[in-house]
Amino acid sequence: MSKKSKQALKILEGLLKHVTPWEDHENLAGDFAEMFARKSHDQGKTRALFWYAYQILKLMPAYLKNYTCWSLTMIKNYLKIAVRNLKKYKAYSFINIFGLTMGMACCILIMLYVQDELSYDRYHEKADRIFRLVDSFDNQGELSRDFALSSAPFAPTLKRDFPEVEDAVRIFMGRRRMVSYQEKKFYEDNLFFVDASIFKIFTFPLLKGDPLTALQAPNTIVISQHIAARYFGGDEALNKTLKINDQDFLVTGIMQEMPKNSHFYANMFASLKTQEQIPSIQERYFRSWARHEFYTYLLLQEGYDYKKLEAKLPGFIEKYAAPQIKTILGSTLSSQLQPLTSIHLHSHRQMEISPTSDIKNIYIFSVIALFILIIACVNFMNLATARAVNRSREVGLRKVVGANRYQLIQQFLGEALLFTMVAMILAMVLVYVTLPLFNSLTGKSLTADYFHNLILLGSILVILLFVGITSGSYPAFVISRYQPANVLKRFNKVGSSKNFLRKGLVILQFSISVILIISTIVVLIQLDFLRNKKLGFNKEHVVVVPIRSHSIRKNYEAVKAELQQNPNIINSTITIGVPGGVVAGDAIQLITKDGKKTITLRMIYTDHDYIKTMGMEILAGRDFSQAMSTDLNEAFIINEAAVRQLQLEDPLSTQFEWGEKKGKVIGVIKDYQFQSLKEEINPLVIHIWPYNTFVFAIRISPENIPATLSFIENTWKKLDPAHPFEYTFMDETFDKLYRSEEKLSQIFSVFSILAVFIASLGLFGLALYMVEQRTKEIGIRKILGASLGKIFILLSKEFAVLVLIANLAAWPTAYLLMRQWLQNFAYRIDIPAWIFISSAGIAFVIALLTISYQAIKAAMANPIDSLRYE
Amino acid sequence: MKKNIKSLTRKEELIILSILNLDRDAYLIAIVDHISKVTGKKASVTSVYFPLNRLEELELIKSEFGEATAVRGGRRKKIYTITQLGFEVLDEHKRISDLLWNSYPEKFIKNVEKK
Repeated sequence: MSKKSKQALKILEGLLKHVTPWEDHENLAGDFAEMFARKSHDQGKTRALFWYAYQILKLMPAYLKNYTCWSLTMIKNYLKIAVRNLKKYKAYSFINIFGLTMGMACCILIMLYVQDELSYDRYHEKADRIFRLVDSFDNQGELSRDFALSSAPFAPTLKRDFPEVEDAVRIFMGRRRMVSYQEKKFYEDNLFFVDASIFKIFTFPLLKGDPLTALQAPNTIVISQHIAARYFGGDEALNKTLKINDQDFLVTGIMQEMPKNSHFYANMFASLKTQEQIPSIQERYFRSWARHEFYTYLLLQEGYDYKKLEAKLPGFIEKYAAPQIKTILGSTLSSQLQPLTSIHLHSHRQMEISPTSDIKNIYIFSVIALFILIIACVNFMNLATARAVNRSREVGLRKVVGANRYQLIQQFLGEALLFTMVAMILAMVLVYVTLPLFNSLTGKSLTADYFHNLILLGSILVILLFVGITSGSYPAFVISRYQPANVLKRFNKVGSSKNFLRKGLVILQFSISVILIISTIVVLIQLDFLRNKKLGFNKEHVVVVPIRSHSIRKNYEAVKAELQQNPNIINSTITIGVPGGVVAGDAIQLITKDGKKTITLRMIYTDHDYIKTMGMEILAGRDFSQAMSTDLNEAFIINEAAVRQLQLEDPLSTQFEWGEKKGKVIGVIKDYQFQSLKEEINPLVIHIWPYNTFVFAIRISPENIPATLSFIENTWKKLDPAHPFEYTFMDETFDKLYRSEEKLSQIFSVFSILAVFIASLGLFGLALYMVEQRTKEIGIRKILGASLGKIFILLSKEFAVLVLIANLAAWPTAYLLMRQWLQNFAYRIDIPAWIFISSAGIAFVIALLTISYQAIKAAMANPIDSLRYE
Repeated sequence: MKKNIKSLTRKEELIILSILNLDRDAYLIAIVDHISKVTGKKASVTSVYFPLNRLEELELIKSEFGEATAVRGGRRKKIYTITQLGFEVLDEHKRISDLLWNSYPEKFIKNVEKK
């Protein structure tokens, strides 16, 4: 008891010491001890202890008041000193704050981007239970393909056979359609045919109409607010009738505009029943396990592991789908499930519902953001350490007057945080201002809604603390350790011994900059290479007109004759698609000595003039010809890739059979790039089959294009008056394939330029400081006869060495990174050596330019001024 | 009439007069004890400590360190004495009090005494 109470007393006395002003502490502790002794004698130790504790409690308010009062006084002093420093060293302050502002603005922008990318499809209430069923075809190792699609019977059959599949929906995309209401006619791209269960699975709130029954009946449609406004203006849209192509659809629901962060975008959902009820379509599409035209989404039971269902799929396919697929397509099929939320970033399959993004870009951007932030932090640290010499006198004096180390750390960290805070506020404003620019660069519609976006606000706070503490830590912990006697006696020496840290940081900065420079150059060269690679066809001056009316398809010969009347129209062809668009695959029988073999090839249905119009090169055999009547039904042309992959020894004697058609290969064309250059060229077969065609491709001469275009338009309107005329240029469509890479390279360039800029800003500040430190030395050297050039070299030499080391460190890293990135492309450049040399050159030039201003200024200065600068 | 002279609260009056009475041994505990004895009510340490500090701040009293004793754990006492200004304020206070008390009717005093 006694020992315990003694301990308790000790604690209380310690507390008392803490809460009383030091000049008052001794007597008060004495008084309390006296009183305590008396109390414990009178009332016992316990009560006396309670009394002691109570007294301390009563002293608290006074203590708190006192404490805050003094802290405020000190903070006022710290602030005053900080502001004085800020004003006195304007260049440093500017570099610090400006660099940090830029760095943090970049960071916030990239964070917004990443946040948006990660948010895809998460708004669905059941997002974690929704999975997409996708197919892979295995064609004995060759021509194997992963598709984002699956066939129609999967959804209902899976739902019937597996109780864990709570619901399923099929989405059928189809093509661009003309939608009309009375006089209003528009082409709509975002119209999907879907099962009625779509609203049960996805969260697409209906403003009007019943989500459960809206799409139950055939010929019903749910449209978005915007679409409703487009066709019906301010009128009530519900229960009105829209015409799609020539079919009537009853509007049974109005839905909210779909969020932009969805992996597909629809503004009209028509009922799939419409299609299913048509017997011929039902037979061809809805009963067939081999026709892969549908996006299938499954809603699984809560808490059910989708991997378990995935494991059951092979058995399921074996039971239902495999026989049909084997006979029709000659390949085996396997299915996978993709979690809904992973589709946008992780799915890279053929025929995606809309282009997906890549998780790699997120990594790349995050790394760039981190790099830029590090560079800005390094600036801050470098300048702070450089100026530590000046501040060391202040530290010495503060210590002499009674500041303890803890207070000094507080002061310097606080100062760094203050700087960071100012920079952060500026950065937030900067982000707000530059966001439209960034949006147009990335093609997103991001908003910087700081106060509603809690994650963003939280991250901003984290960045703030991170930057403030990392950049303030060196001065805070190191400078505060200075011994007052040392710094006050010979303050010039202190700090210079820490040069190696500063040098290391400069090397780090420049390594990062060089990595970014090299990467940017490689990306730009690669994209240029892709753009200028020989495509195997002539993409310029081809007008592509979609076919909307069946009569055009039926009378295509007449249309062509009509078009040929204009001398500026060189050639025209009717076809399923042009390079750059989607090319479907189809099964075809290869007739060999051992019998028939079913294979799947990319197939182009067209007429006689496809190869002429596209400007392709024939390597062997001949083109289709009107003179040969057999070409219509008995001729195929294949590409080099087909010859290679099918291992044809004598391609021109190869026999094919496709449905009713049976014939032989009459020509081999040089491989041409019908898909993105990211992918290798697939085996392809071209044959005449004008019935399954969707576009007219018209090659025009480069002269007088507007007149030619209006001629085509007039001709078209005469032939197909019901549909508005539309056209595209083939080169534009083709270039779209590289849009995401193009965007990536733009963003990359912008941010690496910024990074290099911030780094050189820091170097500028450092050079400024170095020259300042060596003013006397330079003066003496000049008096002793040093030339301007010598002094310039003297000052630049040190930085040049740093930049060289930075380059050496950066090269291997950049090389490995870029080799990794280039793996994405089927056709890629070798990273040439000159990139490394030139990036080193760029870094040198930037470094020298930044330093030279200071160096020349110092070298030109009159020694008289520099020698009496104190 | 004198201006700007500090008027004392009851507590302060008690404290200053206690210091006066305790002569050379006026430290915190002694003052607390004295006040308790005179008023017959227990005064707490903190209720004396804060006014004491305030009086010192106003320079009505001053302090110096006295001897240390064993019971205090070897810590010195802070002995308070009244300053010149303190006496002036006390005089003024007494003058006002006397003026008021002089008009106090005899019979009330008697009543009080009877009690």
